[in-house]
Amino acid sequence: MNWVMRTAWRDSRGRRRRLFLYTGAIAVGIAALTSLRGLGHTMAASVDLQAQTLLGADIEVESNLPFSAKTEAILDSIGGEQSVQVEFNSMVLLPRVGGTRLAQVRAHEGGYPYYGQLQTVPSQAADTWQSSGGALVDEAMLLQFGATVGDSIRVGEAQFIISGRLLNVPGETSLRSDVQPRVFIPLRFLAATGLVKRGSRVEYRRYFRRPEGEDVAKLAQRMRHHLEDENVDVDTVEDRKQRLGRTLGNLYRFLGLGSFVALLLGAVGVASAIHAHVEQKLETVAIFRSLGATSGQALRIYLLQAGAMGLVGSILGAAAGNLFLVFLPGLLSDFLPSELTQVDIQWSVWPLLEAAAIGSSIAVLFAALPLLAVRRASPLLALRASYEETQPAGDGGWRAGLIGLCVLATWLLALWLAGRVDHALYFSGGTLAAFLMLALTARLLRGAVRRWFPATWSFVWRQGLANLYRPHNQTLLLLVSLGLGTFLVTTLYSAQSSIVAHIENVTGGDQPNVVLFDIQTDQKDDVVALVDSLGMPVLDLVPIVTMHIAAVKGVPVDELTGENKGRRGRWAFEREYRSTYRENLSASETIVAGQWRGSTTDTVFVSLETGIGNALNVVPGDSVTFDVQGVPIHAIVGSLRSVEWQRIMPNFLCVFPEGVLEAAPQFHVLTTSGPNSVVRAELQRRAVGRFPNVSIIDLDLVLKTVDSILSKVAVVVRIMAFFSVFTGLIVLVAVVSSSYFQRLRESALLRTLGATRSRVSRILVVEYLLLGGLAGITGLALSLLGGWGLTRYVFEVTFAPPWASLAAVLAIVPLATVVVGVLGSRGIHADPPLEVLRVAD
Amino acid sequence: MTDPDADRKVADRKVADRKVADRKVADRKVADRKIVLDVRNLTKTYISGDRPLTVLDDVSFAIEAGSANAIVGPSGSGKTTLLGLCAGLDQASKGKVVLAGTPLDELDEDARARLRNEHVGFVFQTFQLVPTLSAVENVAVPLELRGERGAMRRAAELLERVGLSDRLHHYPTQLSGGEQQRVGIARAFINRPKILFADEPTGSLDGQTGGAIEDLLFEINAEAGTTLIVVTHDLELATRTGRVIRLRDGRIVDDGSNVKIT
Repeated sequence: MNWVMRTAWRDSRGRRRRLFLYTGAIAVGIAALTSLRGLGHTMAASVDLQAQTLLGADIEVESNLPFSAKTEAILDSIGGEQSVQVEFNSMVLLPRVGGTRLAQVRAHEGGYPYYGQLQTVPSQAADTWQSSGGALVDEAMLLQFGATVGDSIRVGEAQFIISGRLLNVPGETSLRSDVQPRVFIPLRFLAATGLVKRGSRVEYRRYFRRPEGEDVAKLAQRMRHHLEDENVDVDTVEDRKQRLGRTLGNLYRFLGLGSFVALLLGAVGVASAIHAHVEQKLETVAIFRSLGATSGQALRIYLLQAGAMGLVGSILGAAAGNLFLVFLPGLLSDFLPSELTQVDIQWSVWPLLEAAAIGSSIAVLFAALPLLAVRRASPLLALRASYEETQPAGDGGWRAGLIGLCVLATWLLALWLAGRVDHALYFSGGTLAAFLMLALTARLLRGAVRRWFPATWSFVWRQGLANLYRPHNQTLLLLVSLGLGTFLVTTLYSAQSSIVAHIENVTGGDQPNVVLFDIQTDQKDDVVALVDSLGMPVLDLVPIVTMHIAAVKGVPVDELTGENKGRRGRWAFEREYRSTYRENLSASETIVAGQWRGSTTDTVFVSLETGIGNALNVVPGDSVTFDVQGVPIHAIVGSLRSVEWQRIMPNFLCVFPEGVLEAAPQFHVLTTSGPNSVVRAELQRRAVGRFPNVSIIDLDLVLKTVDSILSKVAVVVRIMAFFSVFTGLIVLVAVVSSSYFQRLRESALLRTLGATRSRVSRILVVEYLLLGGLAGITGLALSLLGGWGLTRYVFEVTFAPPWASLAAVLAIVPLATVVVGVLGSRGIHADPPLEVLRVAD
Repeated sequence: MTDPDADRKVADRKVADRKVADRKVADRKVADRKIVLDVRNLTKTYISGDRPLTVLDDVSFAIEAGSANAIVGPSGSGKTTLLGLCAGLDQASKGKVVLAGTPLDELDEDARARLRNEHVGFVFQTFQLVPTLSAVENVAVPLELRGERGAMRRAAELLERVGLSDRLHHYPTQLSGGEQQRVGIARAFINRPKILFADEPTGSLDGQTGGAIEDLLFEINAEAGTTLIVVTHDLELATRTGRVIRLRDGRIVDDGSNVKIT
């Protein structure tokens, strides 16, 4: 062991507990990183292991039109085990309890799923429901209405006995049952429901199980080739894996942001700890220098200590991260297929090594900046403590280089976590911007306190305030770490509250809160009469015609989709359009180009929503040919409209004038407003009985569902915020601990000069109260800005922060800071002042 | 034929010339060997606020190897600054310091540190022991820096020599002021320095302890044959050295030296 290593070890004596505490800052970041990376490895392995279960079959063929005779013939010719499923949305009724709800109905025949199985209660129901002619109903829906197995459920005109509660479907998340409960019925009774008619929105699926050893990819390729013109999708396990991989990638990136922020905060914490450590070591450095140590040797002593802190922190963090990894899949269970969250954790040495390398490198890199003080520490300090540097430090280049390296390392870390250059830029840029804004705020606050110092305030307050800008103050660090934690938590909380408030707002008062879909033309008058009979107003009743785009500017859509490689471009050309026709613009629409024409002359002028107009690359005057259920309609783009999509009313991408589509097969949407849940439930009960094909959405239920989903998202967000808040607290503990001796000496001096212990304690409380309060206010102020931006530009709703909760945060942050600060400073009054001052001298 | 007397005279002259030349070479060698510290026209100016402040002004002297010397003067006269410059802890604004035959101005900071490690010992007024190192570890630092083996053994021997054999593993805070200075003296001699700088070595000690430390310092210095330069306020201590250089306002006002300054 050479001198540097020996001295690094010896020099840490008496401070190892404190240095160990500092390692906590890096440990939390590494714990976040390790658990998320571990989860990534586990999930990737699980996706491979469970891939077939995720699809439930080897191949799936899917179409939104009934399979043509040619398709049927090709599929039949493939042979082997096959299952058929027809899937659509419909209102269902639970007659005993009187509950109605829009559900996803799956009419099913065959042995699917071939891999994995439906989980039901009772468990045998998964095997017997088809033969017994019963139905499987999502547990969430049964719980909602208090229905049980053995009750009946009405789907359209058919009624089924509920054979089992459906707990899980292979490859699907539990979140799905919240959004739309699933009801499985035997395919042979589909016709009896009377729900599948021309124009209905239905998905047709065929599942295949292939003999072991068969090249499924080659078979799927052949099927795609033969079914090229049949408007079907052929999906294999590999395709599903890729899609799932993309979904998981998005989830990791989101969670990665949490570990990224925590790790950066940890790095700042280590830098601060080293800064405090080195300030107390400059005299020791000077002694070593005067005895012949070079500046490089002195620097290496403390770099080694920083590296060791990083390494120890990383090992501890990696251990904690692996422990956390056991619980993490459970926390994410709402967002991942259950097959992935119930698998065994894949333990791997690689994430541990990664963590150790990253933790120590980050610690050394960020510690190098404060360690520049060691490099320029003059040996003259050993001769006279009051020595002042008279030569320029000459390390401007080093400083700039190190800052550049830190920024580069931040970006590289973000790139490693996000996997994409642009995302890495957003990650690192956004976080650095938040850091900078918090740092700037801290600087401004410090300057403001100094400039407008309240000289007439009491001694305790003046001392507490002065501590914010005294030499060796930790104002900047605490404001950044605690402020960032507060910022993250409250921004996302504000956004969530704003969305819920918006939905409450748009569903309250005279706003529509019930929407009835799929009303056939011959049912229109009867439905209106039903609504009237319950004293509910008909707010809107609009016709809807389904269609596709056949050609744009004279070029057939098949040729155009080849040119438009972008997803949005293809989506715009290939999607099904649900269009309406009317004479006037609605309240949510504004013309931005061209001219609105509500009636048809010789030419059909359509109005397109601006986004879809851009995706189709058309302007007013261009021609678009629509395929309206087999009938071509040539139209000219008459205008482009902006649409306020968040308003609860039927909004459309494409609006036709009157006089064109009246004769086309169509259905209608009606919006109304029910004063309370009893009236709305009555409407649903009567409607399901008389118009089984009509779907009804109670927006109150939507609100509850959205709230439930947002709450689940909030869990994930809180995992992220937890890491940064926890790191902030550890940094706080470390900072308090690092300034312990300074406080001990200050306390002794003040007591020598006549201050009571209580007064010294109150000064501490004031200081931490101010620090916590400023961190809370700064974080909150930034979060209001961030929350406003998020709600205004991402969610496009009115910003409605939860003021009461934010006020609570504003109280909790300073309180926690005071508690940690005072606890960390306990014992500073324990020794007599003289003893303290003698030791300090 | 040649004149034998003339030849003899020429031969004698040649011999005499050779002897003179040899003597000159020998004298030069002796002189070179004897001067361990040569200070020429040394000036140090600090910028205090916006104004230059000259704390040392054109100071010159030379220190003979093995001699004991004192630099005295009132507070602010530049003693410590001079010591720092002589030991290469700081750089002069003007002038030259040649330490152990090496001009310090030609060395960078790290080379000066290596030179100190090889040729210089320090005793500080405030002891300057590393608080996290035990007594024996503190003493061993200069040898360990060189990477020499047996540093701890040699440190223990020196501590025994200064009367601290029972305090080897005590930390500075567990030692009295006198004991700490003994550790400092042991550390100063461990690398067998050519020159030892002592900055107010008894300045932080009471009279009795200070006297004992003085005795120890001079004893070990005599044993080791080290050149000693003591910076002190204490005239009694100064008179124990063979030469006293007095500073006032950054200038030498008196030099009790019999070494000719050229």
